[in-house]
Formats: sequence, C-alpha cells, structure tokens
Amino acid sequence: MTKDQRIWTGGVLRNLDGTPVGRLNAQGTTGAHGVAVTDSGEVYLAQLSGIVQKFVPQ
Amino acid sequence: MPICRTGSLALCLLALAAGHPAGALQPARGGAASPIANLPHRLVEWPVPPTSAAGVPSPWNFIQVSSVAVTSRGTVLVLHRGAHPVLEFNRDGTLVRSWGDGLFSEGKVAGIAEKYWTPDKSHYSAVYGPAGCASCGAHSVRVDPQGNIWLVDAPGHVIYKLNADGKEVMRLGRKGVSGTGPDTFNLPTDVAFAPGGELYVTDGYGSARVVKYSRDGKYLLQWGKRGKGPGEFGLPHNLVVDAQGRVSSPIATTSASRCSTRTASSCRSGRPPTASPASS
Repeated sequence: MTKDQRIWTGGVLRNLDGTPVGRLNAQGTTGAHGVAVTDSGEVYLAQLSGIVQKFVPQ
Repeated sequence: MPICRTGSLALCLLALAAGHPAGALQPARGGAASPIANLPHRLVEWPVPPTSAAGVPSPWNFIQVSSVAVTSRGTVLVLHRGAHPVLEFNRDGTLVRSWGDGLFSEGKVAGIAEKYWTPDKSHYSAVYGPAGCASCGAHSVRVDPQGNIWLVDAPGHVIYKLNADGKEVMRLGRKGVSGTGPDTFNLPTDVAFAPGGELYVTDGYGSARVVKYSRDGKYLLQWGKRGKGPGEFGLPHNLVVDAQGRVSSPIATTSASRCSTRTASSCRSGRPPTASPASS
C-alpha cells in the first residue's frame, strides 16, 4: 500500500478498485511474489527466481 | 487468462501469482483491452554484490526471494528460502546483517496432483523431511507501523512478531500444528495491519479464510471458505489494509475488499471470486 492509497500488485500499480494506474517497465515485474515501497517512492520487487529488483522514480 | 477483468482485483492478482502477464493489458470498462502506461521508474542494480575470496564482486545466492519489506529505520529486509533467510540491507544496497537461521520450517508448500483434487479441499499441501528444504517456510515479511517485523512461515503454520532488533515478542499459530481454529493456521500466507492496530492473517494455502486479531493477538473474527461463491476464496495469498480499514486480499474480489473491518457479516456479501488457486 502506498502513502496515496494505491496497491502494488507485482510491478503493476492499481487504485483500490483494482484499476491499473501504471506499471514498471522491466521484464518479469508482473510476476513478482513480494513488493515493498518506500516513502520516497522506491519500489522493491521480490522474485522467486532469486533476485530483488529496485526501481527508483525519475 | 493473461488479462485482468474490470473491477476484479482478484483475477488480476491471481494471474500475477500464476506468472501470467497480468500487467500487460487491461480491458477498458465494457470494452477492448488497452495498454497500461509505463511508470517513470528506473531499474537500478541492487543490492551491492558481495565480494568473493578473490576480491572481486560475486552474485548473491538468493534462493527464491519470497518477500521484501522496508523497516522503520529505512533499511530493506529481503526474505529468501535459503541460508540466512532474512537479510537486511541499507537502501544503497550494502549489507547490514543477516539472521533467521533455524526460524523457518523445512516444509515446502506444494501443489496437489489434479487427480487427487476434490471440490471442497485445497489444492495445496506441504511436504516435510527429505522432500522439504531449508527455510522454505519463508513466505512473507512485513513491518507494522510501530516498526515490528512480522514473518510468515507457511508450512510451519506460524507467524512471528519480532521487535526491530529481531527478538520474538509474540507469535500467532502453533509451530508445526495445522488447524482452522482461532489459534491455528493451515499454511498461512500473509499478515496486515489495520489503522487501529488490529491484525489480519490470510490463511492461506490450506484454509481459505481471513482471520482478524486484536493488536495483542486475541482472536476476534474470521470470514471466508474455499469456493467460488459469495464470500469464498480460491487462494487468499496476500493482504493489505487501506487507511479506512478496508481489507483487500489478492484472491478476493473488489467487493470483498470493501468488507468492514468491524464485523464479518458484511464480508459475506462480497461477490464470488472467479479465480482458481495459483502457485507459490
């Protein structure tokens, strides 16, 4: 859950009604098993493939 | 089913869990699919790779990274299913510490072969012993608003609450004991925190319910069962609570996500989930 009340589902950001707002532009992000977001908007994706992906807002 | 249906968070998230490209397309309300805009985020290398004995960078040997969380100190917890299952990094990617050996069960959640499926039973179980694997119970890490760390051990049927220093201060469920009572789980998957301090647990692979507890771990109520009818779940896999206290679970529909946190009765009015169980 983000500070502005949106939900990350894998690499897809959604409103509370499930409508997609946008997605992270990298391969494999939609299948992430876990997501965390910082107050400054950095996004971390946990991948069962054995990696962590970090995305920073530009 | 690579796309999400309008208004159904359940289908979208289930597709994600199943590894389908759910984020690729989204049908417009009552119309054709339209692309989802890319966000202005840049992928960066993270974390800083460890240094090998030869003095050169070497890749991390993460085994199935199942979850990640940001602590109240601003560090990042990485939960993986291997040795030192909890790794804490600074946001610049440098390792702070690792811990958690022996904490998680060695069971492994596994799908049940289709020929053994029954309509009323979960399609998931867990294998233990030689068929299991070290720390494979590691399913979810969360940090509550007070800075406590919560770890979900799915095949261990237990959820740990640790303080910010990693000391256990409470647990929900009984380690190694499966059940569907107020103090037992059957392969739980996630935990979330309401604005008032109450806790919610998705339970999970073996059961199909959401359980609510007080902040000190007292059972309050539960809802949901396996199925596709109103108020029923396929596989409640993750959980979030919004600022108004509404609970959203990935396999719940958006109607279910509007369930009141105060009572279970309104949750039974949720529209039926249309999804089937996913993996991992």
